[in-house]
Amino acid sequence: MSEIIKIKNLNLSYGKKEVLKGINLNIFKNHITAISGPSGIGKSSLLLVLNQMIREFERAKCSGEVLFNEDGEWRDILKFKEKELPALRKNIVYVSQHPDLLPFSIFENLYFGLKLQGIKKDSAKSMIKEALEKTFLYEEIKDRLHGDASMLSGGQQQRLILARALVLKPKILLLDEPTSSLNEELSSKVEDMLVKLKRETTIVMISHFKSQILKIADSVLNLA
Amino acid sequence: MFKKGIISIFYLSFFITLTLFFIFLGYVFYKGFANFSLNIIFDEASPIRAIIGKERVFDGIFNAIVGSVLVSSLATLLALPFGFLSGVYIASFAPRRIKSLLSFSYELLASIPSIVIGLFGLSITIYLHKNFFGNLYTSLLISALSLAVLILPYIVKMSEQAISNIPNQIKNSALNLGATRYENLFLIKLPYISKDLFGGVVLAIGRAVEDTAVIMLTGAVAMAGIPNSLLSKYEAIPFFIYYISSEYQDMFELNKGYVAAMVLLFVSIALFLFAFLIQKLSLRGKFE
Amino acid sequence: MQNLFNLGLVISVLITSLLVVLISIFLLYFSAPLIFGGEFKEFFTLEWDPLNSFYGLMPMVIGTASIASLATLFAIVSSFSFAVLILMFLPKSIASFLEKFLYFLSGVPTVLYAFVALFLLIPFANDVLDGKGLSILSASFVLSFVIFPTISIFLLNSFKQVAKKSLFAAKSLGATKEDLFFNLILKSSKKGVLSAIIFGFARAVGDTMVALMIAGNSLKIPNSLLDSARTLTAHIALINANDYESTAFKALFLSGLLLFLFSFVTVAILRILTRSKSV
Repeated sequence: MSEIIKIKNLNLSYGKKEVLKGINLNIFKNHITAISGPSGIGKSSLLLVLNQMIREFERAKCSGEVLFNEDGEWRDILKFKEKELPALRKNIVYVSQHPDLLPFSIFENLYFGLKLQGIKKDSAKSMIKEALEKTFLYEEIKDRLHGDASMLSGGQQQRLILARALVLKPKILLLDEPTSSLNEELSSKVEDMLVKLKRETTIVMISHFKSQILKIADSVLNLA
Repeated sequence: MFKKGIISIFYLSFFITLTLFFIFLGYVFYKGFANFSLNIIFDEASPIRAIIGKERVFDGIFNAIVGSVLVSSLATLLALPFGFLSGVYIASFAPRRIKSLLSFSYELLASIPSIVIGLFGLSITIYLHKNFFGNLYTSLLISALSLAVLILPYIVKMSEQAISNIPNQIKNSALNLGATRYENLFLIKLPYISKDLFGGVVLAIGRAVEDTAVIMLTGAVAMAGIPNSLLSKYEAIPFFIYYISSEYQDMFELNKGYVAAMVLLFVSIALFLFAFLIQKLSLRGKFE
Repeated sequence: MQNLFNLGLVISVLITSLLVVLISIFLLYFSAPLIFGGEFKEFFTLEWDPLNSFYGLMPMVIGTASIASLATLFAIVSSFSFAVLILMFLPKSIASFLEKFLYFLSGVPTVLYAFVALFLLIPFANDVLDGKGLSILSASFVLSFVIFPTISIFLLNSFKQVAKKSLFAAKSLGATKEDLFFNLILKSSKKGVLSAIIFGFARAVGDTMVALMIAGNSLKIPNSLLDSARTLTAHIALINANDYESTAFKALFLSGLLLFLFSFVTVAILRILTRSKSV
């Protein structure tokens, strides 16, 4: 069991309001680490610290250390320079709680991250199909891949942004309530998929379903 | 990388453009300040006596300043009520289809080249002169009316936007308490947007002061005293700048042009700052 | 009391919305004899020489088209630069100042640009270009400054709309600033960019003072960028108001009508473009 992220004494504040205080957590490679706690307590903010998108919020201030084991070397991502962040975010990919689609077609939404990495459209097609199958979306939308992504239902959109992250085969996947819009059957299927996925990807997920956490998490951080 | 190369081109273009603009603005100020003197404005007349109207200025730009003030104030006074009421109508009372048609009409009005508006003013004058008022020639009144047409669409748009931007809670709360549409308009909406309107008025005045094409066809001339009636010709700063640029006979005249240009730029800056400050103040008030 | 107010509203709206109609009527009224006088085609010939009865407006149409196009071309590069840099690459404080600076610039009267250019640029241009300072090239260059703030603001607002919705998502997927601009914003603002260009071009067509003071106003058909030219707007401004009944004078109204029609088409196109903007 090797660690891939070590969070040491992390504090996060929004202006004068303290959101996270003294967080210590080791995230293990190829594990599913769950984060639970009441609403508003800072779970999403913690995820945003891990990919440093927290810097988009002007009044947010972090202190402490967040060490990331990148190819054997430990580096504190809190100290990363602005220009190192895009590369970080290709390795640590965040999936938002609310579907944040890009204003493109379904295909273009999925291809966007790959395009950034220089992968040509033709090679991308099979990767995209694979990701859609993993999220049980392929059969439903295979005929409208080039239609507007905003036309999908809530549950479909949620699976779409999950697929959008999966297609990038990230080292770490940050999931914020990934099954909140899905019915029981689909949720169960996605949970099984995540368990299989952890062999290739480390997963940190927020969930407010106790049963889900009990079923698939290897460790839990409760922020209450 | 290709993309980074384009961004560098953007930076290059950015710096060049910015530099050129600063040279432009700097030149106007430099030449204007360097040649500034009360003489340029008032010529041989004493400033105080000229301002209160007891002494005539013959060769200074004072007349042009007065003319500009008069024509733009008059134009704004004419355009404001009609423009504002039209904006109120569109924002508060118009059914959807009419709204669309009306906004097309104002957009069209706003996009007509100013010289064509001037031509319109001229044509109306000719028509009225031939058929009704043999005494009517292009004059302060005609210019003011034409300028009013020019700035009208902006006043309409500004009024309409100001009312549309009122948050729904404020728009509707009085209605929920039984107020009529009119009470809502006068007691709630208008006070709320008063600062926006003020800012819009300032901008409208700015447009009226700065235009050259309209006034050059409708009554602005190179040499006229302070207009003693609405039907007389007058001088104006923008027209003066145009005229002097090609007709200057000596350095004094050219210097008048430089000072006039600086005055115009000053006015432009002052009005912008004024409108900007009003906007800042109004935002502060809304968060109380 | 309410009825009075109602009346005021209705009268205002009627007057103001019918102004456009009134303008078109007057323009038509004065140019009608030319249109229906059987010699309409004459006004689209290539020579304007009233003394010899040539009333061709084509030299002016060509003048307007070339100066406006070139000015827009010049302005596109600088506008894009400003819009992109302000939106994404410059530090927030500088970007915010520049945005306000753009709004200020859009209110600077065009006669000032022409005036400064006359004394700063033209002597230099005359030196370099062998006396051909007052020409299409100079006029287009100066005109581009006039329309630049407008296009920039338009572009900036178009870009902001897209950025607002999708910037966070795209950044989370590892996009650099260059990626964000080229693959996200530019890709979804095509209609906005086109609208900005059309809008800028229309403003360039409608400008009078720069063309009047810098382009030379020659009546010959321009053959090169260094030739002097006259625009429709300058043509109207150069009215020789001696004879209100003359064909030459009426032809000015035809010019006005042409400009009016151009505005109409532009507004219609822009409406269609912005209406069908999806999402």
